[in-house]
Amino acid sequence: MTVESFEAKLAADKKIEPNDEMPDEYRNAALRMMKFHASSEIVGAIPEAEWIPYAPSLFRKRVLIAKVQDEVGHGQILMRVVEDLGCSREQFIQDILDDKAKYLTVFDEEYESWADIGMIGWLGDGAEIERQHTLKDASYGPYARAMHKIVYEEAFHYSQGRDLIATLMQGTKAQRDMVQESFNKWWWRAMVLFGPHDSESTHSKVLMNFKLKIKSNDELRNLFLNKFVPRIKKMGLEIPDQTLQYDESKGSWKYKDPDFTIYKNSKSLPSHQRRLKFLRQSYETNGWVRRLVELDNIPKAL
Amino acid sequence: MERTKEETIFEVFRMDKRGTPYTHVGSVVSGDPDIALLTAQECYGRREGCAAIWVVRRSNITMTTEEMEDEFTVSREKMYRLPGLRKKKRKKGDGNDSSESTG
Repeated sequence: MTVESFEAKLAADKKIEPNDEMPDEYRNAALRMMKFHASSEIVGAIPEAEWIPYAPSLFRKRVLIAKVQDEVGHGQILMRVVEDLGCSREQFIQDILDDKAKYLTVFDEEYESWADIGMIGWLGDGAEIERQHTLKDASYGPYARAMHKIVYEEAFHYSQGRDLIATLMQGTKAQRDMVQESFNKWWWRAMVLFGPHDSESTHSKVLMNFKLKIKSNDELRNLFLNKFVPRIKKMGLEIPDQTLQYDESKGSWKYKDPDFTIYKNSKSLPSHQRRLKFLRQSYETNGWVRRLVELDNIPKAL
Repeated sequence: MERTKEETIFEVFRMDKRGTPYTHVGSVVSGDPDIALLTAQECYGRREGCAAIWVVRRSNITMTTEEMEDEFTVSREKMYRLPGLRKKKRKKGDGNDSSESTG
């Protein structure tokens, strides 16, 4: 297949399927983006899993366990997408264990309070829904289909986070202060989550040309603000950006830039090192289960 | 004899409600069908609920190629496949005999 006929296929909004011919540029761009997403789902489950023993009630504990299982499930689904694009599961896991995998660096941060667990659902997953909702139109078929299921479940995560925060906001002053303190961090984390400005984004142009990415970082950040500024105010929280303003004439938001370089050193955080150690240990201790159920030494007769 | 990597991939089909068609939803990796079914249940049956799930080893599926896609499109040239359609729906030069009943 020539590059021209592939581009014509994309222009006609035809989805690309795993067995189709595709230029290496497309395969590599898709692989990079989808590995990032798959790694984020897997690594992102760990900081939340750490909080399961500290859930304040059995109800909250069950909700959190269900959420963590969802995230790992999303990782499973996206890992299959990644494998079919040509990266083996072993390589994918090894990259995480070798600390080479790229993912949302917010998952390297320490989650310091129970309010942080609410914020990751309400703001973090809420922001991700904005992005992933547009990716249902992505040109790679298996990924676009996975997004339908994943967004459906992320909506549960958004509402459990909102419910958790709303409950705390109806509590004592100490609880409300805890939420505001947590929000002051998560506001900037949510703003960073959409990535650098369009003018600074290295891969955006290629991804958007291939219709792998549907809306730009700045467009998505704006959509997020449209939806969340009223929600945040309704929740009774104060936004830690005094310059935030809606520009009627442009139809977009003016805001103070988050520090886009803040996560450059996230790998050196003690919280990241602790989780990496946990991942390496559990990969080793659970090896026998993996060998039993997955790939190795399964007789042909089965 | 060990299985190849390709043989450990199982495609997952789900029936949302009894009476609706099975739909392909994704795939899982497993050494054997029982574990594949269990993984598929956890990945695809847990949240949304469904009536039934199938898992099929990918290597057991015989499929068409991308190039064959054109062969499946309904062609105006083959109006004989649609007998009895009203004449106005036909276009000139479609190979149909105009003296035939328009049905």
